[in-house]
Amino acid sequence: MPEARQRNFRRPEPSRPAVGFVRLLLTALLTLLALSVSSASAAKSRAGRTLVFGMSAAFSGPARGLGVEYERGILAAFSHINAQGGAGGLRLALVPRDDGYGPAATLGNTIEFVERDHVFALLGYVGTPTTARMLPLLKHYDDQDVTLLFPLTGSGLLRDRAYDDRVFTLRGSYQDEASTLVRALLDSGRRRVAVFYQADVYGRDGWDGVRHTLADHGLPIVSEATYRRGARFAQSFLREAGIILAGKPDAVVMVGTAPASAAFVRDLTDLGFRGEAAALSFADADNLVRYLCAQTRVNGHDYTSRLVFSQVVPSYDDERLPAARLYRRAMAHFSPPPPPQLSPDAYEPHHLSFVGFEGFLAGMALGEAVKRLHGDADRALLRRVLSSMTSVNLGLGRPVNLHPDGRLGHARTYLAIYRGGRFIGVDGLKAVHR
Amino acid sequence: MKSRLWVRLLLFLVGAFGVMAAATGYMAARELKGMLGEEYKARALAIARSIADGNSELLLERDAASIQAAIDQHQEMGDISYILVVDSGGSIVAHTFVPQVPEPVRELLADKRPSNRADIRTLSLGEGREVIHVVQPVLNGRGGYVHIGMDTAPIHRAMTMAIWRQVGLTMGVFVLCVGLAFWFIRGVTGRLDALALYARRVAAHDFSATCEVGGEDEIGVLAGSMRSMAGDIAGHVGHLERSVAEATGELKDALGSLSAIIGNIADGLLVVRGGVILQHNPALLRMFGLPDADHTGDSCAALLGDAVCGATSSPAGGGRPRLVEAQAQRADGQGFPVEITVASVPLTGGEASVCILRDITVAKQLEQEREQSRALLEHMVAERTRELSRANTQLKIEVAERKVVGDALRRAEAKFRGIFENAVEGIFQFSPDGRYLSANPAMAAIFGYDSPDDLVQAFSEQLPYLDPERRAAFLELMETQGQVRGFESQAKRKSGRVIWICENARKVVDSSGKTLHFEGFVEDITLRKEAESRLVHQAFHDPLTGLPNRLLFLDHLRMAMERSRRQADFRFAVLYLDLDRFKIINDSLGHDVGDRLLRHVSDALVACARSTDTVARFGGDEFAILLEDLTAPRDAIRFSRRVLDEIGKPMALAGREVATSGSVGIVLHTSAYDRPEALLRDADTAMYHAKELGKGRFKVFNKRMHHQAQELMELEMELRGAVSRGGLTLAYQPIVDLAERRLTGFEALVRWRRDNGRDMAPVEFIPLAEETGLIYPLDQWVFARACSAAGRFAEIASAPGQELVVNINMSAKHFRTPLLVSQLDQIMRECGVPPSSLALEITESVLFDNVQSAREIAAKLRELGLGLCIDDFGTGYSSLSYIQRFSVDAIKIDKGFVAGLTERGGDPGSEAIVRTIVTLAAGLGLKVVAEGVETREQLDFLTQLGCRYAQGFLFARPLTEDAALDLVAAGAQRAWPDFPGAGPLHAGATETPAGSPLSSRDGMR
Repeated sequence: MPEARQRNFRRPEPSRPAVGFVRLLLTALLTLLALSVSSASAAKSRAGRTLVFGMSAAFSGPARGLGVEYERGILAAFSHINAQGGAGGLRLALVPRDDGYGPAATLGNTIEFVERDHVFALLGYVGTPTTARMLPLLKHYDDQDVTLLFPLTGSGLLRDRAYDDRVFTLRGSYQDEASTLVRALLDSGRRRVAVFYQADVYGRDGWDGVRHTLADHGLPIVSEATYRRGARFAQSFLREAGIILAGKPDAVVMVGTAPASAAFVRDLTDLGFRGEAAALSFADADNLVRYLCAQTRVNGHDYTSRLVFSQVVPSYDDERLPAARLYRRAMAHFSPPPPPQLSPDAYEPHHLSFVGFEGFLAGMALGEAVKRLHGDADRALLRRVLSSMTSVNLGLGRPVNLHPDGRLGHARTYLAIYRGGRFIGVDGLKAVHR
Repeated sequence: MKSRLWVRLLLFLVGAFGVMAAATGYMAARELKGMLGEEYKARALAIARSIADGNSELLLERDAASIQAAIDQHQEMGDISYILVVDSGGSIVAHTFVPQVPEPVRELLADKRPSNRADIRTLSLGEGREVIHVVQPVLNGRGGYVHIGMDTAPIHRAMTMAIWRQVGLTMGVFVLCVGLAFWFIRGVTGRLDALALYARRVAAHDFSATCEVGGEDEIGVLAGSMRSMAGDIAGHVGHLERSVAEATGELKDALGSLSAIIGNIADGLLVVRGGVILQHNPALLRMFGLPDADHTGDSCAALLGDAVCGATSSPAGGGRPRLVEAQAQRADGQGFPVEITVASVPLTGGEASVCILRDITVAKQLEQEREQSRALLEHMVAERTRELSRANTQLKIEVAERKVVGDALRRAEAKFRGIFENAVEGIFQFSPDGRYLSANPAMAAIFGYDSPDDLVQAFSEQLPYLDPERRAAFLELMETQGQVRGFESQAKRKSGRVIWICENARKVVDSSGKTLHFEGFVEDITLRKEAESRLVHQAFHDPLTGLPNRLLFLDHLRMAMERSRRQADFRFAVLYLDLDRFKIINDSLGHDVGDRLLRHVSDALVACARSTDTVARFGGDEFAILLEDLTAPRDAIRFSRRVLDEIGKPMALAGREVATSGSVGIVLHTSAYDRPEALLRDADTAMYHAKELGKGRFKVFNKRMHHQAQELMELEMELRGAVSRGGLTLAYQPIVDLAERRLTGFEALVRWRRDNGRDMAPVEFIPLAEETGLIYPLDQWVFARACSAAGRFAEIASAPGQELVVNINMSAKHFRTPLLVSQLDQIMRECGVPPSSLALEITESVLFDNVQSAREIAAKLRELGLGLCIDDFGTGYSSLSYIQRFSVDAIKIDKGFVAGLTERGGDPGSEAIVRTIVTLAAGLGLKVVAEGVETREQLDFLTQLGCRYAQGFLFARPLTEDAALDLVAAGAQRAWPDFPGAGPLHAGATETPAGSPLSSRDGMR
């Protein structure tokens, strides 16, 4: 088993040999350390064993920011837990695989995880279309009790009762996020809301949320435009921006990825739009702002002052929250390297980010669940434990319910804006943008 | 016929197949379009149904995301352009359009006709896109509608493909058929054509034609029959025609030739039978001058005369013709000779005579003329032959001459070619436009080419001059002067190496004065140039360090001074540097190390200086630096500091660490000088001042120094005058034997009273004399003077055992000169003084410079008999034993030690030193003289220590020669008058001799 995993880690990386090699070595060493400790004592003692989790996410392509940040958060939590001797004596390790935000690759990765890597559970999948595609596999592997933990998606599909016990989520749904955003926009006096969304399940989900929330207030979507998944920041969105502006909106909700949303905001602003541009958590606020700041450096235009983000985690800058403090401390002490062999595209990770924080919370929640296994690495038991965790304190100020009945780990959404180089959590937009 | 048949067939085929291809293509396309359309519609319908039926539950729930997931998966199946789902109310639930739902589709949605059945239509989306749009109701419209669009582009593509396939196939068949038809027609018509042509030619009696048509078929058989038939006919006709033609031809020939002969022969023809003319020809009538008429049947005699007639009418028997000559007569009566050939011929009317008559008048005349002509011709031929043989001889002579000239030319050519080829100098020719015409091997060698051709080739592309203007200058010179002499320029060899060349060339003109070309010599003068530049460099540079020498430095300095005169803000400074311990290093470690040290110092100086500055070596350890373009005087100071720091750093030379230092003199106010030499002199002066301050110092020249220097110079001048004009005097200080209490000698002390009346102490002017070299004449003068004085002393005090010795101070510098011994010897001889009455006083330092020579000189002096005394003993570092090696016979204890003996509280050091010196000297047999004895205490002390001799104010001050003579005359050499502290031991001493020296001593005071 260890050999198989190492092979997986040694996937060659052609473009950045030197740095890549060092990072690879580091990661391999860490894993090897963990594994050697576990394999040496596994036979005799349960303490010191390692649970391996498979993570399929975009580590390449335009959406790689999400995958990298989420993985860094999870690894930070893992290293924090492992540094304290593991969760109930079990150490946690992560095997990442790149799917480039493509459903077909996710499917293949999942099969590899289950059949070759024999991971303990699947953890931290990123993206709606990708996760939606692999869901049926969970049913297929039911006899092995394969569970998908805390995917980074707010899609309603995952919240289907048919996947109770098979999928555990920690975050609010896109519909919730969309409706939070729309309500905040309407509260601040906006009436003409447009939607810019990804032409797939994720986009439709957000669109649906916006539509429903507007319908509740008797309002239509004034204009809408879609874009194809996989768009890059360099791409022009002038046509889409034109379509949106044709409806004369005073606010736009964007259901997309960071580069697409950033490019859209850029072109929309360049065409003269001065209303709010609201984005969901999946748009990866940190990377979206990084794109736009880079653009600001190029032409000096202001792109970020009218941005509104819905988040499923509170701001990591909030010192009042124990979880945020712990996250900051964990990141300060241990900065997990990005999975180098999976990132052919250059990416400079953020030290702290919303997505990273979410990953950290996911890792901590998983740690809590594993602790409750009491050293018994049994997949079915994990499901039972997770289902029984109706009130877990993750340091978010209130307990979190992981039971599928609760549907959402902590179904709360937050609003954030970007001011003066940092994200600020806000309760409403009225005071902010007037 | 052939082509027409072929074209007709071709046209038919084209028409037929064209219609066929068009028809089948169109049919196939129509059919395919219908089929594909139906198929696509069926597929669209099936997909729409599958979406509608498979997701009816989701549609009812209106779960947009799930529906989107479902339609996304369907769309990935391909062919489908878009899927759109609306709910029963007609509002969109999900779609796959990017970026928005197109207008035609939206219009369709607005049309809300409740329908149970699927609706299929073709929709144009604009931009040339056309889709098959299927609307499938879900649950009869209660669950909404599924809209599907399938792009028709694949249908159109398939249609086009089908049409092209069909047309292609038809065209293929068409081409094949045309080919086959061509082959077939060629087989039939071709042969028929050949056969017809053959038949036509046979009909025209052309049997030469052949028929190639063969084969087994009907055409072949027909051709065979025709061939045999034509063969037979050809045979018959040919034979017949040949026979007739032959007979007719022969006849015609005979007839033609005969009448032609008769009509045309020049001779007359006459056929006579029985005197009657049967036949005649026109020539006969012309011959006899008769009019042209037919005289057949006339009488021969009547017409031609009897003579002729008779000759003709009597033929002899037999068939042989006979020749007769007869005299005939013309119609005008003129007679002429005629020649008649008569032959008897049997004709159909009987035997007839056939006569041929020929007028032979002309023939006879011609014969005569021919005879004359031949004689003339023969004469002319003989004449011409003579002329030709003369010409021939002339030619032979000319050929011989030419051969001689040619040989000479070839020899000259070979000679000059040899010179050209083997000359050491390069020889060349070039055209007025500067193009090389030829060159010799030497020139090629100069420029590094393998052959002259290579060189000419290379130079035609690129001239060798380093400076491209050189050739233009060359040509201009050539133009103006007609020749170029010693034209030196730098050129590039083939290898790229730059050489100096010298060219001499002249213009070569033709007889009309037009320039033909230039020719000249080229010489490689690189070595000469290098030697010249090396010589120039050597003349102006120091060979050891490569630095500029004094000459070049002065040149630079002069230029700097001129520049400063022109340019008010131009400042410069002159530095003079001298190494402090160079001489010691050079002597102790050898010249090699000294040279390396100098090189090191020069490197350091050059490193410190800027490129505009001049660093020069003046020889020895003296360097001068010219700092130009200074912004402030402190730059020069800073430079000096840096230089002294650099030089002061110890360096490893010959395996040991050598530390040296320099003294620098600086002249900053350079604008005051007119002459560079004066400037340098003051820098030198400043340097000496720096040296006086100690080692590793620098000093800026100032006014005071200037005055001092001036003063020193005046002093020197004065001293020089004093030495040469005798402005010096000698004083004599008595030396007393303490044991015997008597005078044993004097120390001669030089005294100089200056022109201003001031007395100069030797301490003040001896160093100056040493420095300026005046010490040599001075010492000699002193020696000579002392010699003569010694002679006078000896005259007075001649008692044996009481000889007086005059000690003479000898400069260390002088002591070193090898000539010293002989000079002194000569002076002593001239004075006639025994050497034993003289002693030389030298300082210890003399013995340490160049030990070997000092020792030799000391030994020689001792051999002469001169005494040798070490002055100021104890101040140096020498030991007695060391001094002993130099044949010294006396030492003088420095007055410092003597003074120390009785200082307040006493100086135990001095006492110990004096005691040691005295003791040791006694042991070594050296005389010890205590100098500067001034008090009784000192005297007592010295006496107690056992010091034998003393001099000092206690006994006498230095005396004038007269006073000294008085003292001697008073008998001081026997007993010192008024010996201090004379005790009972020397009762005689109390006697005071006449002419007490005290008075003279007082006089000296």
